[in-house]
Amino acid sequence: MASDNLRIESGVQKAKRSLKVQAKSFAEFWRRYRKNRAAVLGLSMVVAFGSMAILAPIISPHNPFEMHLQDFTRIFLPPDNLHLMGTDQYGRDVFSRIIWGARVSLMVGLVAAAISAAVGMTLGAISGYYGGRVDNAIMRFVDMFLTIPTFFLILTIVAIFGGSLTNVMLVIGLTIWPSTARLMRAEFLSFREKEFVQAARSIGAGDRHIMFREIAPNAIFPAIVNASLQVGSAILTESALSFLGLGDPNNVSWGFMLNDALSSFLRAWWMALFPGLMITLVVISFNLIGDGMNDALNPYLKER
Amino acid sequence: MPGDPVLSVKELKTYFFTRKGVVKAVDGVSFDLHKKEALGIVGESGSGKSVTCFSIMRLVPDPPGRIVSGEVLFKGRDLLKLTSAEMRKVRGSGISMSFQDPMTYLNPVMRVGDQIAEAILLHNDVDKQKAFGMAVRAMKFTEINNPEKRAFDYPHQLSGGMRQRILISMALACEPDVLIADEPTTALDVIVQHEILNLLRDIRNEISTGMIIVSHDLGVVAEVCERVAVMYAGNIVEIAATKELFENPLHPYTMGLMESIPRADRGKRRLLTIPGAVPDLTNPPSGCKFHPRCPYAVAECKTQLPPLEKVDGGRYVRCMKYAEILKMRRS
Repeated sequence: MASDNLRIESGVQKAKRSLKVQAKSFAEFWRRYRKNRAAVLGLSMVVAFGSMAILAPIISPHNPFEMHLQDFTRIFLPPDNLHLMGTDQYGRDVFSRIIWGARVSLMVGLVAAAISAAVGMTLGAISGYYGGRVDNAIMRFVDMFLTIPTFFLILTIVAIFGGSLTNVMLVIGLTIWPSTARLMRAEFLSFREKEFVQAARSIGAGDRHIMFREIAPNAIFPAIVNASLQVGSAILTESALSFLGLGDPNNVSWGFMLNDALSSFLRAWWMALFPGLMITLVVISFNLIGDGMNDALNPYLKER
Repeated sequence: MPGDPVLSVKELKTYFFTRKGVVKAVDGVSFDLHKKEALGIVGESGSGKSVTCFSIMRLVPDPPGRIVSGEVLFKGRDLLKLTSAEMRKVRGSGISMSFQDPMTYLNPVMRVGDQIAEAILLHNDVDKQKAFGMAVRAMKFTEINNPEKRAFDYPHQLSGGMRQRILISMALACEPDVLIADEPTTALDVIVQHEILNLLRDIRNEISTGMIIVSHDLGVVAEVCERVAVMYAGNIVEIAATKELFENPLHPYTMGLMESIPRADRGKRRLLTIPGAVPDLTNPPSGCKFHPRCPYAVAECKTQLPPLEKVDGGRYVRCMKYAEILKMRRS
């Protein structure tokens, strides 16, 4: 039905829509998202990475942990048919490690962004909705967070508490939420003054109802876009941590592979190239998705 | 008037505390609303009509607004003394309100059927599906064509008149005892205005909801209401049965209003205007607030605010000179 209406609409109505209206049905969203080719590319890459991570045990040709320390004919092998991306200094298959590494990267990225979104959205919503003293307290806390260089904070915490996968996800998630909180607060600040909130009050709605059922569906979009960008940055942070040797040594991580490559990349370019490429591609795809969602969800950029 | 009033407002005062000073937006408003009655409140912009309504609902934004004193008795209970949880129960199911601009008062990302269903879910112990069914019924009640389909539309897919109907069905969904319609026709064109007014009249005949209809348009009020209260600068200056008010206004301000509307039954003549402008409510005139613009004003008017006096026939007027005006007119 929505698509019929759209076709019938005249140019004038379209212009009117573009400013005021935010139809958020999924079909509508997809129609708009699809227009951004780069975003579609990003999404398909993420889907590819995702299936790679899920199917890792099936598609990886070798055991990523299997070392051949004794066998000098199997270390530092350049890419060939048996080892598509060559082998590293311990004789491990780089291609298999890349595949398994996608698991860690995606998991860290998604979980950390989810933690950040949950904390940031909740605090931002409370802050913006109630305002006054509550807002002040939360926002000063956020400011405090923003004054500390995030990466060094993460580095310190991981150095103290150890770099297990859980720790890394938690620490990243719990340090990057302030930007989400700010976005959410700004949205709530403007939406709580909207007339439809007044209307909801007039039918007897309470604060919780208004926050979650009336305002949240309107205000959540910038935070969702931000979350998809944060997935990329969390992956980057995890790689950086692993690169510095602070990640979980029991997992395969692209950052860790780069660390391995550091000492020998003049001899074995494939050890540095492929993990680096993967990190770049994943981060770019999440950023493209974020961009695409922004275009598709932002009512002010519609129908250009 | 038969029986006890369902809603009784007594000496209501709502002030806004702004940086420029205290704005006495509503300054001692009193009126009764009976069951099944439709009361109109008319006045210029800024005369306190809407603030009166928001005060009854206790929805005045605080800060800067505050209800300073007065009583709002709804079925014998003073709404101003209820806790906020108790007040939430009254809103929607006891007293509900529809608003002026039907676009901005609807949530843009919710289907209209869901929005009405929300109102039902807040006050009734029913499941979502049943609530949606009830919402469709409420939409049918406000004469929306094909409500089963329209319920799945988003607000932007509907016309202005349709949206106003949705707002009204939202307000009526829980069958409140009192419906406050704040400028129900202002944002609509004349034909749709007429439809909405007919709808309000039908609603009043079909269910026993009391209505307060706020408007700056005397014609609108005349079409639907039995009684009309005229507000000026935060006070009610006159309350009378609609016909009486139009034919025989007692307050000089009401008289001015009547002279300034074009009427087909009076032949060709120049419309009169009331000299001056609405006073600044941070610093209102002393005494009767209308005295700087009033042709009948005498010295006392500057010092004393006359009480809202009861005149025969259930009329009230707030003027020192009304008796003389009445006498003059009779002779």
